[in-house]
This record gives sequence, C-alpha cells and structure tokens, in this order.
Amino acid sequence: MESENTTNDSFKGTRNVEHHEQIRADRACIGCGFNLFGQPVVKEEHYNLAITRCPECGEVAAIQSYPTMSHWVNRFRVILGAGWVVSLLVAFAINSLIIMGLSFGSIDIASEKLSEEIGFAHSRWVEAQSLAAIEEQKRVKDSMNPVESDPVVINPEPDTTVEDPEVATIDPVLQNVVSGSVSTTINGITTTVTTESDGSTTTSTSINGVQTGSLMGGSYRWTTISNNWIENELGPMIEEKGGLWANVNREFLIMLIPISIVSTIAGIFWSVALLGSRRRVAIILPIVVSCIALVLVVSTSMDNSMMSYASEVARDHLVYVIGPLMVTSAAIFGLLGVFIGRSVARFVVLVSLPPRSRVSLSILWTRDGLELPKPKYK
Amino acid sequence: MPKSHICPTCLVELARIRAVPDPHYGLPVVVCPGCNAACVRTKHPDREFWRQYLRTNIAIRLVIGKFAMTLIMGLILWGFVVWAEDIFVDFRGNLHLVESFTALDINTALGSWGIVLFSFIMGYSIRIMYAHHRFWVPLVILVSVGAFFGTIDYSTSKLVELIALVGNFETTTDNITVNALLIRGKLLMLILIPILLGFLAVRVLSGSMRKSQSNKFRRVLKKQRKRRAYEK
Repeated sequence: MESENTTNDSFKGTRNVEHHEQIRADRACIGCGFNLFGQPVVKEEHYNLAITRCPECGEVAAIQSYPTMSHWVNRFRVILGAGWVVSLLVAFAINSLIIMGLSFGSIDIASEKLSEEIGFAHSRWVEAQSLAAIEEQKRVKDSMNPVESDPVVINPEPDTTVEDPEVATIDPVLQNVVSGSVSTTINGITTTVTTESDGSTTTSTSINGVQTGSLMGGSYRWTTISNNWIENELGPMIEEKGGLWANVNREFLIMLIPISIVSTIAGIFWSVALLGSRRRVAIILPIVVSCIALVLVVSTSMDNSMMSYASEVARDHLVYVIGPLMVTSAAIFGLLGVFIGRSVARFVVLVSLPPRSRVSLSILWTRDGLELPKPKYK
Repeated sequence: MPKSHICPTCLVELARIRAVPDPHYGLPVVVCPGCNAACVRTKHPDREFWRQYLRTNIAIRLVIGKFAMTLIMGLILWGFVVWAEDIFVDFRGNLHLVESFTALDINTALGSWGIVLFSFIMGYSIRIMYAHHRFWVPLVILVSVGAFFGTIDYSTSKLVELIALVGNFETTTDNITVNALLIRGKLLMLILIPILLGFLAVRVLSGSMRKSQSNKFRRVLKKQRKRRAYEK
C-alpha cells in the first residue's frame, strides 16, 4: 500500500511540473504500444527525470532510455551461425556427390569400348571352354561305351530334362548330360547345349547359376565375367588389344564441359560463402571436395562380388585412370571459381542493387581490403 | 519518421538532428541545439541486430531475384527470337516483316503482334528492375544474356568439336550454320525496338507517377494544415 501511495504521489507530482517540450518522433508506449507522438515531456519532481504519460493507458514512460541487456540476441546469433554451418556442410556433401556422379558418368562412357572387348573375349573363351568340355565328354562316353556309336542321346522332346545317371557318375566336373540338352560345368561356368527338334542347337551359359546375357541388345557389356577369366586372361587380353588407354572411349572428354561448369559455379559459391577465410584458405576447399569425390568413386568401384559384368570389370580398370583425371579437372575449375568468385559476386551486387542497398553486403569489399564503390550520379 | 530522442537536460526532441561520430570514441553524439549538452544516441542491440539481419536478407534476396529474373528474361528473349524465326523467316532465310504483321492467317498475325507486345512489356520490366542504372546498362545486360542463350547451341557444338579434335575421336553435333546465326542476330536487333520502346515508356510513366505522388503528398500536407488550424 505504501508503494502504491508513493506511485500515486509521483503521478500527482507530474501534473504540477511546467510543460517543456513535446515528443516529435515515434515512441511507443511500453504499456499499450500507443504512439506517444505529440505528448508533452515533463520533468518529474522526485528525481528530475524526463517523463511522459501515455494518454491511452496512463503509463508513465521514462524518456531517457538505456539499452536493455538481452540474451536473445546472442542466442539468435548462435542459432543463425549453427544453421549456416550446417547448410555449408550440406553444400559440401552435395558438391562432393555431384563431382563424384559426373566422374562416375565419365568413367562409364570411357569404359564402353573396353567392356565390349572384355565381354566379347570372355564369350569366345567360354565357347572354347564349352566345346572342349563337350569333346571331353564325348571322349569319356566313347571310352565307356565303345560299342554304341552315339553316346549322347538326343531327346526328341527338346524342353524335357532327364538326367542321365551314367554320365553324372563319370566325372564330378562334367555334369548333367541330359537328353536333348547337355550341361557341362568348368571353372564355375555352366554351358548348356540344347538340340531342337529340327536338329539345330542353341548354347546358353550361366555362371554359378546366373544366366549370362552374352548379347544383350547386341552388346557384350552385360556379359557376366568369371573371376577365373579375370585372373588369368584379362591382363593379357588388354595388352593384346593395345593397352588400357587404347581401349578408352574418348567421348568421355565431353564430360569435361559439365564438370567445368559445375565446378566453377561451386568455386564461386565457396568463395562467397567462406567470407570469413582468406582466399588462400578458401582454395583448399575445392581440393578437399575433389579428393573426397575421388575416394567415393574408387570405393564405389571396389566390388568384391563373385561375378561382375563386363562393364563393371572395365570400370574397375579405368577408375584409376579416368577418375583422377576428371577429379583433377574439377579441382582446377573449382580453384578458378574460387579465384574469380568474389569479383563476380561484387559485379553482380553492383549491377543488381542500388547504392543504398549495397551497404549491407559491403563485406564483399571490406573483406578483401577494398572500399565500397561510391555511387556515380546520373 | 525517426525514433524519438529527447535531450535529457532540456527535453528538446533531437530525433531530426543527425548523430555525428565523435572524434574521441566514435560514438554517435548529438549536440542539443537548446542547451548545447552532448548526448549519445544509443541504439538497442536487439533492434539493431534484427534490422541488420533483415537488411542483409533483403539485399541477398534482391541480388538472387534480380539475377534469376535477368536469366529468365534472357531466356524469354531467346524464345522470342526462335518464335520470330518461325514467323518472320521463310525456309530460304528471307525476312517477311510486313507480310507477317498483315497476314490473313490469324496465327501469324497474332504471333507477330504478340512478339511486339511481350517485348515491350519485357523492356518495361527490365528497365524498372535496373532503374538505378543508366539507360544503356539494362540494354547491354539484356542483349548479352539473350545473345548468350541464342548462341549457346552453336558455341557448345563448336566446343564439342574442339574437344573431339584434341581428344582424337569422332562425334556428331548439330551443325548450325553461320547464316542461321546471322538471321538470329537480325531478329534480335528487330526485337530490341519494342524493348527500347518499353524503356522509353518507363521514363515517361515514371515521371508522371512521381508527379502524381508529389501532388498527393502536397494534398495530404494541406489537409493536415487545415485540420490543425481548425483545431486551434
């Protein structure tokens, strides 16, 4: 009650003070938000402080104002800074993935010719192996049944599969001599020769139970390649064809166009986004991005599965040649982007914004020790 | 209107007096004209932080928006060139301007006038967008971006051919003749005429708009003066 009386007394006191000045600008009442424009400013009698009274709610407002200390500014700064760091990390990851994807696409284009060669050579090898197996099988059957003229019985019904127990017990390597279709397995490759009713024969090959598409759409790229062939035959085959570089489809060089554009734009972005660092620090970033992209490309190509397509085998060989080439070019163009980035950004800001609005982006100039250009009047 | 700032000594409103950084501390000091007392114009840190944040945000948005709009306008200009190529140029590469505008075929006539109308609107828009520059700056920007998009297929095919030459492999590219490029250039120059008219329209209309705004401002002031006189 005592405090209320004191307050009332202070209010009373203000009424007796001589009117000095009026508020001639915007000032919101702290009680109701009413604009105190035009209200008289008086000095209250107790402390001689300048005050005014809100005509709407009667709240007494001290005119002398001091900045209130608030934690929220710092909190918002932290939140904004953290958001910015997270978005930069996301951009970093996206940049690496884009470079990786483009490099991978280049490797895929470059490996087209080599994969055709590998698929074709492997198919020839499989056919030779199958013929050798069939010959071997005939020879074994002939030696077991010297009286019978034709040991391999051809079933007039082509699609029926009847296992011949005699042949199955001959050799564990040679399997499934069936009536109408003959299956042999050597080095994991199962070759099945089927004789049709009209006497024609068709050969199909499978590796570990998976059918090989020897000619998918007229291409040998999707031929399944056995590990045995890769270990023994692939190296000599590549040497015979003139080496790795001679079998590269050089159209992959066209991929330099998108890589250069993307990397330069990314470099410009990093140059502007990393305004806190100097240019010599910022140029590290495209190199790091390229290194990560290279690691991703190489690790994606490391496939330890039992079977691979010809295209995968070719890619695995070319990844160590084409991958570094494309990633290095991405790094070079990224460095170029970083080098020209701030100049480009300054030019865009100069063109886009009127002089007054440029001030908030003046850090683009001041960071490099330049002065914000003064406006040229028309 | 500026925020109120009262002199603590004599209670005079100092809001309209410019705060000058003092030579000793760099503080924004206002010297009261009534009592010569120096007082510092303090700014609330919360308010200043958000104000700065919003200003930067708006500036970045403006830069990105204008950049994107310029690219889009360049693409539209390129689209107009292709459209005009379809309407104005016959299969021999001859221009038929008058015939196209007066054609009985509704599609040809509408297309011709449509190009003119939309080019005019585009010129008007880009002039407003770059109003802070001299007359020729937006024109140069528009022509550069339009020419970039107009020759992108030609330059790309030439670049691919160069790479094929260096890489020693054969490739097939769309062969765009120099003659076709020249026709495009001619059409671009023709389309620039309505664009320039759009630029001029901004000059005329903005003058009249400014005049009407200042007239309105004067009317409001007059009204306020009358009201105050009536209240007294």
